[in-house]
Amino acid sequence: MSERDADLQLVRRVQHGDKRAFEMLVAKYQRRISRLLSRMIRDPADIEDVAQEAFIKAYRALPNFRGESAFYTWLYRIAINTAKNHFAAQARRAPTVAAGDVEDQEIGEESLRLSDSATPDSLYQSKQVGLAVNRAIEQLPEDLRTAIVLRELEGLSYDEIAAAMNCPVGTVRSRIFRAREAIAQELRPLLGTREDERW
Amino acid sequence: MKADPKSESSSMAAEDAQSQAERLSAWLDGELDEAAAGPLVRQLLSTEPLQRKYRSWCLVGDALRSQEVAAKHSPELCGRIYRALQDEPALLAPRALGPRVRYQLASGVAVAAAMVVLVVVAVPLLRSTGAPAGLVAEKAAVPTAVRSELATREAGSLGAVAAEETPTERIPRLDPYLQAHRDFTAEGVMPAAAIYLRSGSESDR
Repeated sequence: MSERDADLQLVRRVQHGDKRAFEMLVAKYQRRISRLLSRMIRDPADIEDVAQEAFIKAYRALPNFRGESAFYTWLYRIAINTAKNHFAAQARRAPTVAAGDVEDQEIGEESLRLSDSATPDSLYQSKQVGLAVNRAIEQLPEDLRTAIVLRELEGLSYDEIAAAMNCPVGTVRSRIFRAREAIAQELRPLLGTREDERW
Repeated sequence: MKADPKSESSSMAAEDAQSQAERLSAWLDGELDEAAAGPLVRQLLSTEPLQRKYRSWCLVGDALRSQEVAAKHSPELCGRIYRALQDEPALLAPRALGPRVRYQLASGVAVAAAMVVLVVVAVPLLRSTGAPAGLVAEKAAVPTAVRSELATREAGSLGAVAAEETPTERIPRLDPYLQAHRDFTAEGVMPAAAIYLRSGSESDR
């Protein structure tokens, strides 16, 4: 099973009538889609409108999703097309980054570069998030820090991390879990997320 | 000294919740086996605390990979999308056929089509040109000595064979009829097809 399969399990649940499963997908990808759209659209209010429209379009189109591509790749295309439709409907001048340029790029760190459309608010927010993440990482014990960095930043599998850290896979699983809990605790006040909040 | 059953059960529940959360973390990384993943996803979708953990860990992943992405976190946007979803009908779509199933289906249809073609075209063709089954069986039952004699005779010239054939009595009044129906005799290249060719040309008139 891969991360893509985990998404696919949620997609299958949505296809069988479970809207809550789609909420899980929204929670997972809302930030990446908003970041993508912010490279094309200047107005933050428009970004939210287009993001919402893209997710609802994706929900309606989900019966046609066969899982031949990753869910995020499929969602990304829908978001790009929704943004294009937004430009056409608004008949505005060309966006900061042409839709076609963004579409042609690989999905990854490269496409997540800060663009000129970033507002002072968003710059401040991302700086604060960066500081909070660094603080949380520094506070972690060495073994937890290594495990979470190898997983989230290097994209290693649990087997690979276990080999690198010379420990059982079960230990890796436990360390990653504990690291996540600790970082989430640190980020909560900054991002306005409470443990008892549904967002 | 006896352990308090209440505190024992609550510590067991806490242990279960911890283990469940750990499995959720592994599932998020695609590191949980299929058998365990199904029940866990069902629990996730029906348990609010698990959903909160899932959401916060997704945020942690984004924050570690890209601070700018994490900065786009918007509880308001999520709330808007969730509310908009409430107005949408639940999907009850039939499961899309996977590529393997579609290939199997296509090859099945191709085989069935080939069989139909065989039955419609080839069987009448073979039936009209081939010897009757009874005759074939009769020929197979002929003793070896007689068979060799037959082979010798078959090897002879066409003229000789023709000379040995019993001449058919000609009835002149049948000549126009035979002439009109000569396409249906077995001597044609595609005798069974003649009927279709004829029907086709007649329908054009």
